[in-house]
Amino acid sequence: MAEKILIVDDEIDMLELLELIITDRTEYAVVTTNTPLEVPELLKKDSFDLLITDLRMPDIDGIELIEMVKQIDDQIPFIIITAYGTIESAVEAMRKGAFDYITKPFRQEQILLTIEKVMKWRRLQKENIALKAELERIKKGTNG
Amino acid sequence: MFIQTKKFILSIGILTVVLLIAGLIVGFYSLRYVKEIVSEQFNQQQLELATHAARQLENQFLNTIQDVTILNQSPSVQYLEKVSWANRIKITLSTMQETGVQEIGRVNGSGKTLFAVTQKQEIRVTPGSYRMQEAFLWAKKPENKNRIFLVPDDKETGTIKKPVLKVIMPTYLESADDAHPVPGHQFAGYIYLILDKEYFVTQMLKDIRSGKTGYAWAIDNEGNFIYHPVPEFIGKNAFAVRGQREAKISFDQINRIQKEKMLRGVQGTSWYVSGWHRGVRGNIKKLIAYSPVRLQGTSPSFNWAVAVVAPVTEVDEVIHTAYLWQFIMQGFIIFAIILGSLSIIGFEWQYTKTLKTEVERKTKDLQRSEEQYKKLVEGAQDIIFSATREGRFLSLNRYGANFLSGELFNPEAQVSPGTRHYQDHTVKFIGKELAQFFPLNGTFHPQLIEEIWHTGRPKTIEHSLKIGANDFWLSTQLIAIKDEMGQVQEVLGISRDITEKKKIEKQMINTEKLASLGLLAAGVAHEINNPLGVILGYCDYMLDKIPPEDKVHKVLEKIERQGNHCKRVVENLLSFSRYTEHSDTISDINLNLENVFAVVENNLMIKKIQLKKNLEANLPRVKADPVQLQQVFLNLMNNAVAAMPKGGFLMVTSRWNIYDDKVEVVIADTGTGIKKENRERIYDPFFTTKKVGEGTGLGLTVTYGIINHYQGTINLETKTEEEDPINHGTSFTVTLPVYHSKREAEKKGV
Repeated sequence: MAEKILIVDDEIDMLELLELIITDRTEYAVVTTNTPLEVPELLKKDSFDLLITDLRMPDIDGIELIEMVKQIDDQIPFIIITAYGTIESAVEAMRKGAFDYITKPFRQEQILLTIEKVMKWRRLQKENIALKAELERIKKGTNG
Repeated sequence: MFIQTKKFILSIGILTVVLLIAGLIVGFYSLRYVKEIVSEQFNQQQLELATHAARQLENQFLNTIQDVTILNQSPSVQYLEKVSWANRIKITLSTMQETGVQEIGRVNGSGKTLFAVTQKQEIRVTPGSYRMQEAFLWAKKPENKNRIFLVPDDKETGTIKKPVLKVIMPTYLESADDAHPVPGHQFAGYIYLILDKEYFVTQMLKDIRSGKTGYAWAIDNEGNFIYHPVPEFIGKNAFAVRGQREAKISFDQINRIQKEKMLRGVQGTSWYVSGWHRGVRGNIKKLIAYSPVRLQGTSPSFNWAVAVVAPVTEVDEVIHTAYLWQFIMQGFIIFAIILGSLSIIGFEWQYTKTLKTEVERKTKDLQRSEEQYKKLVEGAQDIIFSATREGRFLSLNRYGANFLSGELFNPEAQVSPGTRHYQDHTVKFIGKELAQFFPLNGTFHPQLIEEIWHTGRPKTIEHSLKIGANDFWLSTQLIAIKDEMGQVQEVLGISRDITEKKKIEKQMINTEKLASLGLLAAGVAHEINNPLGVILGYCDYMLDKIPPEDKVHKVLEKIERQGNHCKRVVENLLSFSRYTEHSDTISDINLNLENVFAVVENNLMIKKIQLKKNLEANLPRVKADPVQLQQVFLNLMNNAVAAMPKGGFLMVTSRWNIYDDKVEVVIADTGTGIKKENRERIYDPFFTTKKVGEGTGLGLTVTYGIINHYQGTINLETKTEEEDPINHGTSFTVTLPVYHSKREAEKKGV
C-alpha cells in the first residue's frame, strides 16, 4: 500500500507541479486541495503519511492549519513551503512541529529529498508504533 | 515744545513781576490817596473843632459883652452911685471871673476919674486925665453909642506883662432908679473890662484834642499868640517866634497861612512843617485847620484866629496800621506767589533735571541696546542684511559678509571686527544688488522685495545658493521694517544656513521613501515569487524530461536562465526590504574590510586605482552579519571603481567615534562624482547609471537596507568635475553602533 501525501496550496499550478513531480519521481499517492478548510475533512476520511502546505494562503494561514491538523492527528509530519521573506513564520512552524521547510522557488531535487527524509522518519515512527503494539501483545500473551 | 513751555513760563514770570511792581505802585498811590482822603477828613474834623472853638469863643465874648451891656444898663453903674456901684460890678465880676475878666471899671463922663473893681475884689477910684485917651475920645463920639471898642494892652501882674484886651463901651445915662426917675440920656463916659486874652482863650482851647496829640492854638489880629501849648509862645509874634526856636526849619508855609488866611478871617485847612510837637522835636509835618473868631459888635471889626493842628503821623499811624496789615497781607500774597513760582520753577527745574537724567539714561539705554543689537547682529551666525526697495544692500553683518564672500570657509581670510579692513569688508557690500549674491532663480525672485514692500507682510523662503564650488541652502526670512507712519522703510533679511538640515531632511525623505519602497518591494517580490516558483519548477521538470541535444532543451535553459535572473532580483529586493535573519553575529569591521580588499585588489590594479588604507587599530566590534557587511563594502567599492574609469585613489578609513559610540567607515574615491540630478535617487531600487545589463540598480538599495537593519546610517558627499575640478569625487560614510555584550552592559549598570 503506497504512502499518501496531502498537499495544500491555494495556487493550483503549484499544486499540479508538486503532484507532477511527486507522482513522476516517487511511488507515493498524492491528494491535493487548494482549499485549506477542507483539510480536516480529508484527514478524517483518509489517513496520510505527510502533509505539505504553503504558509501563506488567503482563508487560513499555514500555522493555523497545523494547529487544526494537530487536533485531529498529532502524529502526522508536515513540510512547510514558504516564500523567501517569511522565514520567521517557517521557524515558528518548525517550533510547532513541522518536520522541515522549503523556500520558494525550489528545485525538484530539493523537494524530493525533503519528502524522502520525512518518509523515512515516518516509516520508523510507524514501525516503532507497531513494535510497541507487538510488545504489548507479547506481554499480554505471556501474562495471559 | 519744551522751549515754548520755557518761554511761556518766563513770560508768566516777567508778567508776575510787572504785576507785583504795579501792585506796589498802586498800593503806594492808594496809600497816598487814602492818606490824602483821611488827612482831608481828619482836617475836616479839625476844622469842625476849630470852628466850634471859634464859635464858642465868639459866644463867650458875646456873653461877656452882653454881661457888660447889662452892667452898663445898671443905674448904679450908670450913675456911679457911691453905695452900690462897686457891689454891682462885683456881682457881675464874680460871674465873669471864669472867663478871665480881670477888672471891670468906669470912667466918668468928665473923664477925670476911674472907678474899677479887680478880680481880687479891690476897689480902685483913680483920678486921672482920661478924657484925652483914645478910648474916651472914641466913646464920646455919638455914633459909637452901643458899639464896642477893643484896645489891646499889656497888663502888668506882678513881674510879667500879660497881653490883655480892654473892652470899652460908651455909657449913657438912660436907666432910671429911685434917685434918677427920669434919665438924662447924656454921655456919661464909658464902662470897660479888662479881659485876660490868654486866660479867656485858654479856657476854651486847652482841652481841645485833635486825634491823640493834636492841639489848638490861637493868634490875635496882630499875629501874636494868644494861646499855645508852649507857654513861652504866648504873647509872642507867631511869625517870628517859631524861627527863633528852630532856625533850621523853614516856616514859610505856616507864615503864609497865618498871613494870607488866618489874619484875613478865612477858614480852611492846610498843612505845614513844624519843628516840634509836644516835646518831640524835628521836622514834623502837621495838618492844620483854622477858623476866624469874629468878636461881634466891635468897631473896627476885630478878629482872632483859632488853629487846630495835629501831626500827619496821627493820620499816618491809623492808616499805616491798616496799611501795615494790608502790606502784610500783600506780602503774604507776594510771598505765596514767589513761593509758588519758586516751587514751580524748582519743580520744573527738578522735572527738567529728572527729564534730563531720564533722557540721559534712556540715551545710554538706547546706546547700550544699540550696542547690544550690534553685538547680536554682528555675532549672529546668520546672514543679517537690510535692503532697499530696489533690492540693494543697506547693511550686512560680519557673518553675512564672510559667508557671501566665501571667506567663511576659509578661516585665514576672515577679518576680525574693529579693524579698518573689517569696515571695508562689510562696507563693500553696501549698495550692491542682492541679485549678485542671491541667485534669482525660482523662489528668490526680484519681485519678492517689491511684494513685501507692497503688502508689509513677512515672508520666509528656502532657496539654494552657490558660493565658489559649494552649494548651500538658505532659509531667508524677509521682514518689512516700517516707520512710525507705518510706511515700509527697508526690508530686513535674515538668512540661515540650512544646508545640513536640508541634507538630513533629504535623508529623512529618502528613508521614508525607501521604507515604503521596501514594503512595496516585499509585496511585489512575494507576488512574483509564487509564479516564478511555478515557472522554474515546470522548467526544471521539463529539462529532466527532454534530452539535452534537443532544441527545446536549449529554449528551456534560456527560460531557466532568465527565470533565475528574476529570482536574483526578487531575492535582492527581499533582502533590501526585510531582514529575516535574526543573526546575533558580531563583526570585526577591519577584518571584513580586509576580506573585501582581497577580493577587489586585483580589479583595482587593472583599473589603475591606488588603494589608501587608514584603518584604526583595536576597533570595537559591531553587531552585524559579516557576510552582509562584506556585501555592503563590496558594493561601495565596486561603485567607487566604476566612478574612476581613468584610475585614481580609493581611500578607505575606519575609525571609532567615541563621542557617539559608533564605528565609522569612509570609502572615498577621486572619481567623477554623482551628478546633482542623480543624488536623490541613488538608493532607489533599479536606479543605475551603468549600462544595461552591467548592474541591477539594487547595489546601493541593498546596502542601504542592510545598514538600516543594523541601526546604522549611510551618508555621502560628492562633487562632480564641473563643481570642483580639483577635489571631485564621492565619499560614503557608513556608521554602525558599537556592540556591547550583556556582561559589559551589566558592568556599566545599563
